[in-house]
Amino acid sequence: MRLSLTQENLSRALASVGRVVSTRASLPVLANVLLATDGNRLRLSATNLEIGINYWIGSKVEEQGSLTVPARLFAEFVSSLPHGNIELHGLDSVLTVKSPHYESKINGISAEEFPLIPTLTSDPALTLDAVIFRDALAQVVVAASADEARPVLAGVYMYIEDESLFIVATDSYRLAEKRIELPQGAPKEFSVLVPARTMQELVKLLGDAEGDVEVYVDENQVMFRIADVEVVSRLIEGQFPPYRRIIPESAETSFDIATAELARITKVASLFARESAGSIRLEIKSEGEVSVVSNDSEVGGNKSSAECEVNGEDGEISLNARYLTDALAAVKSPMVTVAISGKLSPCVISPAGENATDDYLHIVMPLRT
Amino acid sequence: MDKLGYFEICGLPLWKSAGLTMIVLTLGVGSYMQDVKGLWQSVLGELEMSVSEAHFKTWLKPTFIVSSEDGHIIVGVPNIFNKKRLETNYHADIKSLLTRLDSAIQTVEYKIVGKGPAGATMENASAPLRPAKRTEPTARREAPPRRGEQIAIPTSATAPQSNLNPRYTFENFVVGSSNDFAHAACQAVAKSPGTKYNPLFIYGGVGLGKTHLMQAVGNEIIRRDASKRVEYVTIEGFTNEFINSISKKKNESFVEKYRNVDVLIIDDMQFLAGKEKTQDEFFHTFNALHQTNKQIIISSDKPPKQLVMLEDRLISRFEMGITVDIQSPDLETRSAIIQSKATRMGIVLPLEVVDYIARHAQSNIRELEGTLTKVLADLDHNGGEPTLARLQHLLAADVASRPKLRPISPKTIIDRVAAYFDLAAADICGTKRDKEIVVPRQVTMYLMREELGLSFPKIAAAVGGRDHTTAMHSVSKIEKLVETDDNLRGDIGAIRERLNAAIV
Repeated sequence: MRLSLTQENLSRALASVGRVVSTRASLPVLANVLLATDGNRLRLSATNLEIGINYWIGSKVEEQGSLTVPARLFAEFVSSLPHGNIELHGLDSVLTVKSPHYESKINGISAEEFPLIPTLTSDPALTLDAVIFRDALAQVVVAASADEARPVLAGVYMYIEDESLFIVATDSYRLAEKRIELPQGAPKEFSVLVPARTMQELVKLLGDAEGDVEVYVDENQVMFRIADVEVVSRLIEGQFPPYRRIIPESAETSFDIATAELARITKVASLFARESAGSIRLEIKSEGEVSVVSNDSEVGGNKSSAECEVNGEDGEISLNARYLTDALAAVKSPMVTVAISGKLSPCVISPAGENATDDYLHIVMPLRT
Repeated sequence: MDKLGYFEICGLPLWKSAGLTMIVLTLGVGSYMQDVKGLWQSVLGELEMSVSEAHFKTWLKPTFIVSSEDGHIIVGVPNIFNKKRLETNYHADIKSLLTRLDSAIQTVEYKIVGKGPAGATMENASAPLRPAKRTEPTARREAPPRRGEQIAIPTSATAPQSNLNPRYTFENFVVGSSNDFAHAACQAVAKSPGTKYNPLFIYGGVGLGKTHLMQAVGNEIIRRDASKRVEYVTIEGFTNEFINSISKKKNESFVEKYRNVDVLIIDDMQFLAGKEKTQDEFFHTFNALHQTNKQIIISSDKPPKQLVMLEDRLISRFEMGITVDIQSPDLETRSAIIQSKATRMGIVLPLEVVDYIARHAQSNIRELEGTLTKVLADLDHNGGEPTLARLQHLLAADVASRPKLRPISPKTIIDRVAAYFDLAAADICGTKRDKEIVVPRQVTMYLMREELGLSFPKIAAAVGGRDHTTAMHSVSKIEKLVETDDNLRGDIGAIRERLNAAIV
């Protein structure tokens, strides 16, 4: 194998595929990245046997071939190189990397050993705009469970209903739902439960990607294709909980406020809530004020208030400050509506203001008081 | 190579490697599913000797046989990477090993399967030894709510279990003049449980839909708020649980169970009569729930005041909320019920057939359902179209068979009717023409015709030797009245029940 390419392209590709490399795999080759020429391009592949990534970059190929090298070492080395052209030369299982003033040899493992990362060949089940999809995923994936004990909650559920794509996640203490309207001719039926970890990687991979994302589904696998990148992941088997019925239809008390303002006073109050596991209390006065209150016997207490527009009667609710902060960050709107109905019912956070859309909601369950 | 690993996989004591041949031989003779696991273990055992440990653990160990039929073996693999690896690198070896071990095997396929059968891999085999994961529902029940405790979204895995039948909903409850008030009260309760009408007391005859309505309330409350704990129990079940809890000295768990619900639905309250200890317990349960604004829904065959065997303090509590009754459905409602049920079963019945069934089965909905089921079963079995003639033929056999099953005498009917209307049997057969007596007399004749199929002269003779035209007139008058007069239909239904009870 002999080829040359730019340091920038190679470094960016390695940073992307490197994220799924196994750190403690029993099989050494899984800690490696596969370099394989593919016509005029170089394909980089990595997998932890749950997610696999294929990443193609343009290069000048002089001699076809393939091999694998330790991902971490190679990525760190390439990122330290100056911008400009890099020559790669693979012979047996040794990779020689040359750039002006640098030359190194990296001992690798034969490409034979590397698992094949399949490309799903069926027709795409769904095509989405990359930017819209990335933003939507970022708004939802925060609510997924990090605990694999209940697999369906460690997933992001996507399904089509009423010509819209719904993306939902819940760890059972909060829930985020995003709706994307689909263009005419989009499929009517679609439903997958994708591991949240895959979605987190996808958000990063989609980074500043433009164009379309194609979604392929086949035999318990899902594949996302964005331009020159393919992400393959297993799907989670099981039924996502029937979450719709917990979304309240109305609220006794709701208020509109600048997102940053509420985030700020929540942050202040949470400083005093560390002992009580982040427990803060929202107090809403119908005259137009919301206070975030925290009591901490050790360090003292705090009450921060802000003016806001209130609908309905006075109300109060206790929440975990972190969940509220996450929700306010995920809502991605300068103004938010926070709606509650008593101390024990779900708290709903959704975009507000003139240009607000009604396609996102974030539910935070209260703390018992 | 890790020898111990191989023996672990075979699940066998430490043998010398010659042992492998022995297993192979037994497998060759023995046949399928029983031996399939052993067969695969042999394949893995051989492969382990030829590939590195890391490869074996990653690619081969987490596999198992899903099925083996007609020489076609399906191997389960955990993910697409294993599948591709097996297909491209190990397939030839696997195939030849399998064929050598069992010559009947011709093809091998790899399939991604989420989880293997227990014991398929070492990981799985050791799984039961790990401490059980904390499951949400038990945690919810065991731990009393603490201040500051995070409330969880009720997902299907964490939602409290109810013993409601999900088939009973408001959507499939047919509303008519005989039950619209009860229906409205139930809907109000479902919307705001524990606040509006508490307790909700529903009474009415058998098979009129009390249980359906009560369970519909419960199902609707859960649909609106899945975290609500709804407990449905017949008073008989309640009594049995109570007695068991005492005999097993687990009264706390009984008390815990019934006093921590959000909605308690008690069916057939009349059977609590005469059970003093249970009444006492129920009284305390009722108070505990009512004081904390938990909804209580009760059904009975009689209104609270007539539950004479119950303690007064219970009866007065039953009357604190709202009492609604369900009457026998009128003709239109019965027709609507038949239509709705037939539609749900995907069958269109001609109007005349619906009408005929509705007229035929008057006393309660269970009877209506029974008749309808009979008609539908006949259609299903014999094919053809549902025509009126066919229906009459079918149900005629039914009517004819009744008298044998119900040996009611004309005398019984006179006695029951008289007792029901607080009259003497002599009044029925007498000559007085007061309205209070005339109607019961006509009802008597109507029932003799309907229940016993007596001829008009016989009816006339049985009721004090009247003219047979009087009997004809009486029967047709009641036949008409019964369709329009809800009270009369209720009376007749009640008398019919007593008649049937008299046989037993």
